[in-house]
Amino acid sequence: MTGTEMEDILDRWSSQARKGYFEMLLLARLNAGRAYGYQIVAALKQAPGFENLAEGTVYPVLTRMKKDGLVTAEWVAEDTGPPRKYYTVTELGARTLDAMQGIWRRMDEVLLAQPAKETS
Amino acid sequence: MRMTLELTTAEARRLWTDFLRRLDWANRDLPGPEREEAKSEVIAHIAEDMAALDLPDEVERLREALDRFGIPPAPPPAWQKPLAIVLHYLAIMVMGASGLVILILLHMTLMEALNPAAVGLYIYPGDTVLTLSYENQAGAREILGAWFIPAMLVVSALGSAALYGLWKLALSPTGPVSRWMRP
Repeated sequence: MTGTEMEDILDRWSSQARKGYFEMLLLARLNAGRAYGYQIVAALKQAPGFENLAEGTVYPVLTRMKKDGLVTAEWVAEDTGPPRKYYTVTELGARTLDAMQGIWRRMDEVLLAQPAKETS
Repeated sequence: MRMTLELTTAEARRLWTDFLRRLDWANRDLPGPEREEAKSEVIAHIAEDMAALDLPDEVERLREALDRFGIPPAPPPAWQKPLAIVLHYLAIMVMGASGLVILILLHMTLMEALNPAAVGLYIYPGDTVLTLSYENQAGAREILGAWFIPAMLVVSALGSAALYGLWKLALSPTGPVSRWMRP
């Protein structure tokens, strides 16, 4: 297998993985305190693999999370600049994040456990 | 919450208008208030990003902010809308006529079970045209025979599947043709 083929496989895998933990990242950011879209995007872009995130993809996910009752949203007028829509994690959102983190920790234990090497 | 983005140059306004047209098209399935709210949020985001960008030119700042946000695909060209309407109503006519034929075939299948000597698919001597008939035709040769019922069931099933595909394409509210027709 060439390096390029492996890169292609890793690209495909990491793209799928990012989709999987996107909501969890959003919830984790909001669990740290309420935030508006632009702030959330800026925080997400700090996460590995999200540096080139298409910023517009965050909003439909936030809307879905709001519909699911994981977050609430309210417009707040600003002294300078346009109003901002702030998102706050709900009790359900916090519990969901807690459960997600539990799954993540268990997965982490399984994936990173070093199996004992067989001796011949 | 209704917002606008204040732009000073004609080129920036042109870029922005094109982006909003694309955004409206991308969000066309959302109810009106949700669509407006989504648009307001996008406007707030782009305004914030433009203010944060260290570029001297307004057009460059807008272009960069839009690139980072992601530009939705353009709506189909205007000429496709009348074509979509024609396709939609043509599909209704085709479905009506074809549905009637399928009903007739199913009725003949039932009648074949009740009166196998008469109902069938016939061919006249020296002719190549097949004729479906409820009566035994004088001088005509019946083809298919006992296979008439399964053959008609298969034809009806295939016809129904094709009509379902046509419905999904041209008549279903979530199908591509109906979506083109929406304002």
